Amino acid sequence: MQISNRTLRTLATRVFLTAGSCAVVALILTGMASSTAYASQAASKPPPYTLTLRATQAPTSAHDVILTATVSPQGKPASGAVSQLAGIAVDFYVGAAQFTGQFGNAPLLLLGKSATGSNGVATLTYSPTWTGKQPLVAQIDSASGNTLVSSSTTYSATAASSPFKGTVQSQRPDGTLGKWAGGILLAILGLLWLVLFGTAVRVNILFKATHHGYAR
Amino acid sequence: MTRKQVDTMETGTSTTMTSRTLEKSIKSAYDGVDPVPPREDIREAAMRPVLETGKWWWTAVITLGVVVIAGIVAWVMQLRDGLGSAGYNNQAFWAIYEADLVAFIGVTYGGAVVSAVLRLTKARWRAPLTRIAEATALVTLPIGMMFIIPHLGESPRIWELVWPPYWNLSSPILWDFFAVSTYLLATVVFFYLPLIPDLKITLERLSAGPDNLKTRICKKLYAIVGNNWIGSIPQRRVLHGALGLISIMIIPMAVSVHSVLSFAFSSSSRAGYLETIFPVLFVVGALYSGVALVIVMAAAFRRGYRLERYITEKHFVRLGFILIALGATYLYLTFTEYLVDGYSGTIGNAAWVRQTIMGRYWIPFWFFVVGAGLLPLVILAFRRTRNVKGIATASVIILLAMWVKRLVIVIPPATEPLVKSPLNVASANWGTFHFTWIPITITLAATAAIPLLLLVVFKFFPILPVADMEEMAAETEGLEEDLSTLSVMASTGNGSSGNRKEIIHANI
Amino acid sequence: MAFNRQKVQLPSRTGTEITGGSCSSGEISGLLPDQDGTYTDSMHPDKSSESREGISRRHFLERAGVVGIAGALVGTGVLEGVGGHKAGAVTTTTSASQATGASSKPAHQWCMVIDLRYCNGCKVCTQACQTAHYLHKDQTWIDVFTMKNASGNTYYMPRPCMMCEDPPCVQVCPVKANFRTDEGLVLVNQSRCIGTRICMNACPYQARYFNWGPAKSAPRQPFPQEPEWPVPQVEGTVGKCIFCAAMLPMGKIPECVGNCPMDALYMGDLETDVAVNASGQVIKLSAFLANNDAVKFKESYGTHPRVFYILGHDQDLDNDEEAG
Repeated sequence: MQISNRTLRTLATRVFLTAGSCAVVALILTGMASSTAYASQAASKPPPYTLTLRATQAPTSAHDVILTATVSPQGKPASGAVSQLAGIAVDFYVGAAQFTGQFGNAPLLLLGKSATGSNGVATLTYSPTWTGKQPLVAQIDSASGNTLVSSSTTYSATAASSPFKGTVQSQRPDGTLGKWAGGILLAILGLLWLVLFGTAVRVNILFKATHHGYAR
Repeated sequence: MTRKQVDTMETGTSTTMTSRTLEKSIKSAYDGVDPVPPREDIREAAMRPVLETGKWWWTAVITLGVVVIAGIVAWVMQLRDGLGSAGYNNQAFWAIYEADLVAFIGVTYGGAVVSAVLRLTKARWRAPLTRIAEATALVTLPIGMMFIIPHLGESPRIWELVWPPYWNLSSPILWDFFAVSTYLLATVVFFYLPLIPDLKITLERLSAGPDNLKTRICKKLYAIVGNNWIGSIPQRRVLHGALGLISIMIIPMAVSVHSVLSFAFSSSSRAGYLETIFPVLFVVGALYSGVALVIVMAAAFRRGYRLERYITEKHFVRLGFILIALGATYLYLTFTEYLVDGYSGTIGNAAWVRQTIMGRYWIPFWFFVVGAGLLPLVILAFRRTRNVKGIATASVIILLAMWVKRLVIVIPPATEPLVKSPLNVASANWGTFHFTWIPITITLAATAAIPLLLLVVFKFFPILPVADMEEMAAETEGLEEDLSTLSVMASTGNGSSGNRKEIIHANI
Repeated sequence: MAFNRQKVQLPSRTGTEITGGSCSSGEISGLLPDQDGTYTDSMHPDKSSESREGISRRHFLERAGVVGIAGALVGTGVLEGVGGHKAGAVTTTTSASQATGASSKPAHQWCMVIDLRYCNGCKVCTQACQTAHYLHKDQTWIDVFTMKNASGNTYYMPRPCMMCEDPPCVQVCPVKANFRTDEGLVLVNQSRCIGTRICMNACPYQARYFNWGPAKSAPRQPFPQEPEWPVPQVEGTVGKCIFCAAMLPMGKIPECVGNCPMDALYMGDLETDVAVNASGQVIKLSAFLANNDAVKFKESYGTHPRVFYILGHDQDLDNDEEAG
């Protein structure tokens, strides 16, 4: 189990590194890539698809977002191409900016996968866990044999539902004592001091009051 | 010195509510009379330390003073170099100063037992010992509290403990501090109250003696409270009432001080500290070592000031019996602690029990078992060794072994790794406490400070509670006379005892 | 929009098996991690029962105190007057996330995930931490323990501060030098600490380290010496792992996480449900913890740590409860 996992991981990393270096080479060769192109395989031939990502507020829920990725054929659609648009796996990502502090530099979190229908549209419902402007990315899965194409958009989430239900509020150090226990304990302490002092003082007062009878 | 007989009362000078109700009772006969006959021999013996300053006194004070100064120097060195210079590290984060804190606050309990418990139980034989016991408690408690200072990493910030906005009332340490402070106040009051009559006697003696700066200052100070004492029955009644109250208060207070002290250890999740038996163990241990210290101090001052006539072998034997009872209890409680933890056998508990009994702490542990458990019991069990010398020797061994036991309580659980890994303990950086000269010197200085401060205290106050002893003597005489009267009554069918004794029995 | 190319790591660790094979359209969604899964109590390893509802340390003292004393005396409201430690609040708001819902709710709840399957015991995390915070060699704020499993093989266990939700160290400090921020960070105020070391006693994880001697000198820091960035350390006070609290608002992950060559450490945010490692791999925290059977160290102590461990085959955090 462990070994196979590790092997896969190594394998995947190598594949990625290869792909990445290829992409870097391609970028140097061709100058700037298009703004929507996220990373492309060695671009010997143009990708057969374009990908458009839209994010819309879900009608049913206050905070759900429906991500719609539309795959359309590049250039003139050939006859019968419609059927080819079905079954393409699309990955959806959101940029997690909380660990970089920079919006554009955010590492991407895989939200999920969805396959296109016969009309070339793949949808995914996304529940934001934080509010504010978020980068969203859709990408056609390279592993499914299709050329890597991606599209990005931004969405400003106004509502979010955090799955976290743990203890949030910070504790005052003496919060454990509640409202009364500490005060009661201090009151007992004060009473003890009062009795001790009081006894010493009272004895003196009484002695002073009763020492007249003694004449030397 | 002569005692006046019945005097006429002058009333109406004082106006407080309490005194007014009292004055009514004062109007009765004998109210202005001290019914207890003075005992010149007791007074002479009690005032001996105040009036005599022998060569040995200066030798002792200078010797002990040098040790105390060495301790202060060591503390300054520690301030300069940090707590690490005292042998601490991240594994042994608590060690010698915590043991000292527990041990020195523990030995104050002798005062509580000998004085308060025996006073409440009306044990008459206690009387000659009470002043020494109370004074010992009075001087050891501040010394014990002083160990907070080297214990703290940032001792200059100690003021934060008395700054209410910073108080965290859920902290055991803060309540330790509160409890010990309260106990200190109680100890001071408990020392002060029986001293009032004796201050009067000291005043009289000082007036008879040479007139120098010290006596002049003392006379001024003692006159503030001492001159109010006439020894009349209402005054004695007030004093006895107050002492009874403080005696009752100081016993639970003493118990709470050491149990709260144990909370600092036991309110954690650490195996070896998380012990519900700790409060009991600490309290009994404190009583045990406290009685031992009283025995040692009583033996020393008895010899130094030739008090053999008042503090007799009988006193030591009786305290020795208390010692046996407490020692056996303490040994049993320790056995219980180790038994339960070892028996449960969880990783954490088994580890520290093993480390203590047969691991790297076996020498101090078995030293305790022999020194505080078996040897004193053997010494006290045989009549041949059950004498002053034997009992005092046993007490010294007990004090040493109990201090070692406090180290055994503190260090092994602290140094037990909480992330259990066999390679963890074996690794070279896993430390334990290493004794350095600094904490040892500070501990020795604190030990030396006890007799030093006592020598100084008895330079100002009588070493025997004169008023108390005179009262006891009168009572004892009265009792004997009563017994003889009873036998007379039995033979003649008629009889009466003296007025004085009646008064004493009715009021005291 | 140009996203950092390096950060797109495909496949993510949990997705390894998914993307490794070819997927037909019908099966894809079924293989995905529980995408809609909310981070409920049942997904928390320690929340299977009513532990959260049961009597916690926090409530225990309250009840015990009141029950024990209430009958004896009528208390005064002294506590109200003396309380009020101002938690040196770490107010982190990044551009991408703000407080959700009520304004009192903090934006982040920091946590850490430690994947023991990948830790190789190199201790780079310890070194990076000690370098960044100018610590002595024995002040291993994140320590790496060498463990031995039942079959005698060694594995490694990094141990930072657990950032407990119910931290015992906070309760025992006599002068309120320890506190917990709204974002779940347990910190030490070294300008108040008096060095009683009772917090070192209370911590069940041995995650606290004292400054036994002069602190290591440090050059001028970007922040003043504060609980969020206690550099340089103060002699005679206690220090501990801070999750690099001062760096978090700037979007920097802690030194140990950022320097782990094995990607075994993740810095996480429970509130937004994501975690990231040194390579920039982002995971959906709740799904990752649930899918990998994450555990916490010494859960039975009731401290509710915020460090999650992913265990490999035959690995164990060696809790005290187990016979050994």
